[in-house]
Amino acid sequence: MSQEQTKKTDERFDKIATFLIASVAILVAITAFLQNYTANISDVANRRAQERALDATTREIYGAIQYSYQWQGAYQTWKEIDLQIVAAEQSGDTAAAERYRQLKDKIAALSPMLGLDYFDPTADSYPDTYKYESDAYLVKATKLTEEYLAEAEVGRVAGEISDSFIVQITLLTVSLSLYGLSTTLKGRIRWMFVLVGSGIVGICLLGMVWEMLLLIARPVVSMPAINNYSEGVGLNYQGRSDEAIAKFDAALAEKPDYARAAYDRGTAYYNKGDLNRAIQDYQLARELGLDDVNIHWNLAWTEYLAGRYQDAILTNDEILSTDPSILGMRMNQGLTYLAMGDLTNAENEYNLLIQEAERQVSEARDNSREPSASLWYYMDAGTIDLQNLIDQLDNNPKAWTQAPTLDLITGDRDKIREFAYQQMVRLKEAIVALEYTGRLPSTTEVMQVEPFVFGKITEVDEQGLISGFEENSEAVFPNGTAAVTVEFTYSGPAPQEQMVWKLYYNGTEDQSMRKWETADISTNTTWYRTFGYDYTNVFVLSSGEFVVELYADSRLVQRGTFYIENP
Amino acid sequence: MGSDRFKSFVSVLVAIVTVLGALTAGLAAKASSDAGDEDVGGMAAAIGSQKADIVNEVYAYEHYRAYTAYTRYLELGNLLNDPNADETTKQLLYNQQQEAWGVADGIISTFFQGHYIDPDGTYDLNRELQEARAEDEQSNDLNFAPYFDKADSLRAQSSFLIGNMIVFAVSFWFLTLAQVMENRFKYFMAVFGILLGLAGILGIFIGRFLL
Repeated sequence: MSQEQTKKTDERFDKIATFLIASVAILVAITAFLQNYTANISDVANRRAQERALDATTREIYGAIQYSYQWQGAYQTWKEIDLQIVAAEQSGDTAAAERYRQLKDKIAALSPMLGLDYFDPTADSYPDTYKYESDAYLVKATKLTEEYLAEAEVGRVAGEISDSFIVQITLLTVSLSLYGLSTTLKGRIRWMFVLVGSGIVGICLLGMVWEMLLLIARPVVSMPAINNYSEGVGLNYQGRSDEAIAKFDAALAEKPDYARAAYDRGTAYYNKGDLNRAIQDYQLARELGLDDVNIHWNLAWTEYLAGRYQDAILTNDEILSTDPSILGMRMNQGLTYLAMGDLTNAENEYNLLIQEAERQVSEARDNSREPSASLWYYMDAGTIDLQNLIDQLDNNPKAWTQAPTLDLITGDRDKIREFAYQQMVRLKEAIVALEYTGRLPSTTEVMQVEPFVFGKITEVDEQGLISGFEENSEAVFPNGTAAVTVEFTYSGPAPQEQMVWKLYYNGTEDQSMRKWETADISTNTTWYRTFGYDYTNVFVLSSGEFVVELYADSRLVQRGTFYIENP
Repeated sequence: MGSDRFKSFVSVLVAIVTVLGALTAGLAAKASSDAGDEDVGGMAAAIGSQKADIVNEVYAYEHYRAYTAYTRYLELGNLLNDPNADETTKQLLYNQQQEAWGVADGIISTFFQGHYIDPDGTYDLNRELQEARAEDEQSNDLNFAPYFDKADSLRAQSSFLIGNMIVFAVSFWFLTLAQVMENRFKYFMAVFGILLGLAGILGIFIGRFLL
């Protein structure tokens, strides 16, 4: 090739390279514009999200402050005066009772929660606090929280698109460098630079188209869906499940990928007792991206109640395999194995549970801290679940029983019942021991207590010692009974460390009735413990089932049941 | 115009357009940065506003709780009066009445301000909240809306200026073509380039001063 030809070829190449550089400059400018546009969308959405988060928190706090006043400022005052009326009437002071009645009306006028929308002062019931809270702040705060989450999602998606555009601008700058460098080179190598540079530009063009499609399809804040969802949350909180489901349906119709609406609809179905629909909705919520511990917990529990034990085990395992410290789910896993008659795996789960509880208590004590109260809370719940299963196996379900129906419990029911009772006792003893001593119960011999005798004290001598006790052999007391006394007789060694009394009313411990004693009882073998309100003329024991438990040195030595009849 | 002089002229124009493009990018970046600053300022005012409102709400309901107790004792005192009672009972009721009104007075003098009680005896909670808010606004900037409005305006400015860069890029493209072309179309290219450059300059003024 002659010099003249070479020169012409070089000039032509330079012109092509210059043209490409100028063209890519336009592309850079367009990409920069798109980047700026999406970054602005992201910034504004993130700012709105922060505003909504702040508003939601404030709304909740306002609600809590107002509710605190309504409940403890107004209603407590109203209730105190109401109790004064009872006391005045019991004493025969009708004039005082009338004065208090008029005063009660004055106080009621100060509180919206004591208005007719939420409270019937003539009925012997509490104000409808759920409705009040829902109207006062819950729906509004939920709406703001949902707006926050939706705006944050918009901000996140737009931010990611904006970041992609920044990458593209960087790549386009590289291609500009390659084009520029190609003009300084000779021969075929310069075409290689142009080729690579153009390849990068092609990739960027494809990327730009893709990101623009993502930008067009970005999530939006659907206010109709949020409004329906928030109202559904308020209705669900009030126990109005059917109306709540209708609202969640409407929210999902507006926004079919609304995971929390699916989750809460599942809870509404659960509250209605429609376990299969609840499971479907929990699974739908998971498919839509809600994948936290709570949803697994609730799903596994519902699967357990519905008798879908294998599903429940898999659901529990998804969480427990990565976080074995969640005691509540560990207990549910043990319970599930138990209900399906797999006692080996059930025992394994309860062993793991006790070990984990002991580890958490030791760790807290080693760090001079108290163990988390949630530890007792969940372990207590575990014992209640076992008692519920036992009640079901005994074909004696209570109004509060939550367990699979009897036909869903598979395996040898007698063995399951025996095992459930053993585990319940073991758990109860572990709870008392860990709570009061920080270690598991010892295996040393403890006192043996004869079955409790329930009755009432009829006579007290001059020293204040009980000299008369009237047994109620049926352990069924008439409505209006103020207190019931337990007579217990023991043999063997007296407790060395402590005695703990627990009283369960309709399946749940009444912690105000818990007694903890360290007194020496070795001076006698028969003792009495009274539960109730015999020290005032205002209260009586409510009608229902009362279970009394006695722990000696953290070992459950006796439990018995008495009943108060309905009015 | 000779070919070399034309090329030199166009080169100067390319340089000017490039500098103007860089200036536009700088102005856009500044506007974007200022928008971020305004957002931070607005969020600080919003947090201050919410904090003030929460504290005021706490105090107002604390006072309203005291007012409830005050009402209880005041009304009880009013009711402790029975003209048909015998002298002993009357004296007993009188003593109780004095005690109840004394407690009511003690509460009003210590735990809330009596001037929030309206003539009909109700407590004006809103007035207390509004007065507290007004007091807060005297010492703190709690109005976040102007900050956010300004931030939105600056973002619009930034977007416009970045969009204006496309105009300069296209101008640059035409001028580059004018420089590499050898036929008479190069003049058309140059004219397009110049016109777009002028539009870009106008865009800078609009973006910087009118938005």
